[in-house]
Amino acid sequence: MSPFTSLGTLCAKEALVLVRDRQALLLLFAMPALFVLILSLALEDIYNEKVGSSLPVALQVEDSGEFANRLVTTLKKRGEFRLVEADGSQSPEELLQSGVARAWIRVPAGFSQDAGDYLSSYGREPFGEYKLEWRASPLLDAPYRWSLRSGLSLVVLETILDSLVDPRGEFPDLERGADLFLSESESDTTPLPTPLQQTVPGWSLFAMFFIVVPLSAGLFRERTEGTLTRILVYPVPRSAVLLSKVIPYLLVGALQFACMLAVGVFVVPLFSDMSLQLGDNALVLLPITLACALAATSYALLVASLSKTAEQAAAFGATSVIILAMLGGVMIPHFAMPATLQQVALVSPLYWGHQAYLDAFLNGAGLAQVALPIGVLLLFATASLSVAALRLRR
Amino acid sequence: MAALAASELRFHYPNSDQPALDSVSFSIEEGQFAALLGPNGAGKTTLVHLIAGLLRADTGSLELFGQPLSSRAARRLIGFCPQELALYSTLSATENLSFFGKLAGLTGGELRSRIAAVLEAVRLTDQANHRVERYSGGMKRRLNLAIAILAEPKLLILDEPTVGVDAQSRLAIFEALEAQHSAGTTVLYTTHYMEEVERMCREVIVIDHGRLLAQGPTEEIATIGANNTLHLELEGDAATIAAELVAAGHAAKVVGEGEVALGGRDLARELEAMEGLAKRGLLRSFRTRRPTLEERFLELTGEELRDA
Repeated sequence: MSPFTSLGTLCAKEALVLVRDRQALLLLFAMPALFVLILSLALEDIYNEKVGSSLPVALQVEDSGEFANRLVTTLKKRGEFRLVEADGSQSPEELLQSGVARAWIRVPAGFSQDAGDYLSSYGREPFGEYKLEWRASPLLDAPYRWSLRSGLSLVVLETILDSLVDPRGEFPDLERGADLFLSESESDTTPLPTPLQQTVPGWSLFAMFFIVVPLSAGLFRERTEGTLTRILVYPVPRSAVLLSKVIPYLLVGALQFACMLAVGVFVVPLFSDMSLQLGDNALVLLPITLACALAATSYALLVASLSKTAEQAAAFGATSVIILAMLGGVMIPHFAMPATLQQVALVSPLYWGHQAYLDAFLNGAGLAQVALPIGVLLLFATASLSVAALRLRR
Repeated sequence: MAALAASELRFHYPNSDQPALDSVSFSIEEGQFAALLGPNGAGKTTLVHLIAGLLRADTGSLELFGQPLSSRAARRLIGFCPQELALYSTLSATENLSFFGKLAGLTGGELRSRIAAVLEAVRLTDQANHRVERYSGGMKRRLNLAIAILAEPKLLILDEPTVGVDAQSRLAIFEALEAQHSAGTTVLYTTHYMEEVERMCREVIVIDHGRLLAQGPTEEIATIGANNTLHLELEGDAATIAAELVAAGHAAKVVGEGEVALGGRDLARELEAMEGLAKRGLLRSFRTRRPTLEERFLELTGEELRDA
């Protein structure tokens, strides 16, 4: 029997044993898929606030006067607001309380009258009792609250100028006017990932490295139950035995990423407006995934080889993967970490994998651009496998 | 031709001062059914692992059917049944057999027919497609043996294959082993059950503290030397007479009311002592008793516990 045939037989057995292990399958596939789904949806609003997409605003208009109509028209034109309509089951104020809207604006009956009186007195008379009322969600970041206030001020100013200067038409957009005086230069930093771009590779990596639990448990079971001893009686190269642990889990890692990708592309859009953008060079995801899966499998073998019991391997393996995932930017995005922690993150193989994926998603990186993280992952895998092979030979 | 020839085998585990095996030499002829005996910690499993190619001796040599053990060809001749239930519990018997059969080089129709044959031999045909996790202890033991004999090995090594099984499964294992032996397989059998050895093994190898203590046909090992026990039925106080015999340098002990067992290595002296008792009118009758293998084993290896 050739070494390759032995390897094939060993790999097939490993795959069959894994397929029969429902708990392991749930751990490796269902858990990260749920994480991707739940966390992507949970992060959607936070992400939208970070990138400045339109803020959902519940508008409660009780005044049908001209000034109120002009104000509503101006408000609708502004990009930073997205007006949320009440469907009858909830009042606009309740939309704010339930979290559907992040701000609530009320135009009270009598507002047009009071505003008209005030303007016709050229500000000499005090403003009446019916003012534009607004309230922001307590969850809204302070900068965004300021942005909302300044946006509303602009709306009021434009409406005032509209009324005063050109009663028949519209006053030129104040903000566009201001843009004549201002110039914002392009940021040269990497754009922020969307929640899906953050969670899909992040939790795929987490799942890949979590194979430390079933792999080490399986390896210890083989050692204690004597099946490994029995295998070694046959004329099978020991390298084939070690490789038979690597190859099936390498494929499992690739399959895990494919599943998370499918969740991002097909499942999450069923619940939200988000969809996963893969970047311009999706083919590069394959070598990245294989490098990540190899690093993960090697790490699992390293942990199994250094542990004395299956329980020790599972406990240390799971805990260390959680820590490496935290450092690697899976749970807290790397860009949101303080500078010191960003440096510490370099020790985590999950960081290199995550960065490679983000580079592909956000910058359309090719193989040359992700060569460094792939190289680091392969180096990590080689070192881990070497130590594991030495330890397992005993 | 020797199926297995070990010469001056020496092996010690890392971090251990004492060798696990020290200058062990023996041979087993082709077609033999041999028992390897020794108390716990004697070095049996180490020796078995050396023969199975799982460990490499520090010095000495091992040959299987004239070929060095290190060769791939020699390793193909071995069937190994470990002490543990070395089975994949989530796979069926057929899947376990198929996996190990492929590792042994069996394929296609040959693999299928051998699987059917060994399942029949260990009486597991009806349960062949059930997962092993549903098997009883006896069924697992039988499957453990089936894997070892699957590739029709020329040398079958069994490390305590009947531990914890009921009488029915033990009988099935014996029958399968005897059939395998009848087909020409050389068997090296390790066990703590002496009645199994007496039933099946024609040759016995005894080791202790890593050294070979005895090797020879089972009958000879059991009867040669000590414990030529003479059971004396006495008039008078058996304890006093036994003490008197011990003081005279004999191995004697009270074994029942008015009965003393007289043993030792010098039959002439024992007969002389018996004659002396008869002259004094203390001997009512006597009979000889054939020692059991277990008695001989305990004599060779001592009666102290091996807890360490």
